[in-house]
Amino acid sequence: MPGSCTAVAHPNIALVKYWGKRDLTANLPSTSSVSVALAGFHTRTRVTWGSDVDEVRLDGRTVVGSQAERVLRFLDRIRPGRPPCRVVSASDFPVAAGLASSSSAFAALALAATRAAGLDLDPARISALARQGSGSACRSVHGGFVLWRRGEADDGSDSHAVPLLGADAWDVRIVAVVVDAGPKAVGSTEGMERSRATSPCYPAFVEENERLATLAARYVEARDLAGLVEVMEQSTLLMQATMTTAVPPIRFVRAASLGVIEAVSALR
Amino acid sequence: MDAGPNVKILCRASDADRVAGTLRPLAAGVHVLAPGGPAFVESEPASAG
Repeated sequence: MPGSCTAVAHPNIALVKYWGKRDLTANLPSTSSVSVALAGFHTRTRVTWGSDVDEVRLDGRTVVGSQAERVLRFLDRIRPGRPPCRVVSASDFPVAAGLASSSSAFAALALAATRAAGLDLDPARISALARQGSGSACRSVHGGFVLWRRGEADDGSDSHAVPLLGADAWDVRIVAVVVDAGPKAVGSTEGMERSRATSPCYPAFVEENERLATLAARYVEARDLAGLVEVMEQSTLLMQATMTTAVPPIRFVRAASLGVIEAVSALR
Repeated sequence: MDAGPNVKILCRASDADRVAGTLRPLAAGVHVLAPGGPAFVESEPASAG
């Protein structure tokens, strides 16, 4: 019988970038991407499938409006005509960490909600489901290094993450450097769509990033750090090119960002 | 970099402290993170009765 379930997921960061959608409704990406999950930070989500009324609590407060609707619409996808549900979710990493929480949030929600609804889906199906809540969430279902395949199917059934290398299989670290913890002037969804619709560089990004994702997957499996870092940088610079040539331009890079990049170059 | 001003560096674990130490004076914050595991169920589904 359906009931309650608590699930936990880590956020992830893209090494080869996800930037732009081929289908806005189903959250289908224009290109494949590669990411790594981040230990030490978590989102913990409890879903009660069958309560008195729909209720969504995020980080200790009840939310309404678009924030709640996004969560409740996601539950509708799991089972149309579902009973009222209670969702309680909290993330333990600070906004100042500069990491997007939606990846871990929708991964944990997908796992907790399906189990609470009495479903026992395999990780690929949970990943495809999580993608519909937030694109990058499909990558947080798996641990370690993963490839999110662009997929070809119109229904998105083949657009989900696949594991490349487990979290303990490669002794590397991610150093996350925060230069500006404030809110971004342009959100990711808007930024992606503006880049796709207006940047003359966007078609080149799509074509090249797909090749880079394939290369990166090979480098991860070979534990080739130098090769992986090179394609990471190429993917990032291509993504930035679509932003800076969008109309109007999107400028995220700060002087401090460039200072960090220069310092890393000097360390090599 | 992601779609934002912050910078992430992938490095060998043995180099992480040196990288973080070099960048700390340039940043508002620095976090050193290991690869994380998969999403998992913390409490098995309990019947709502």
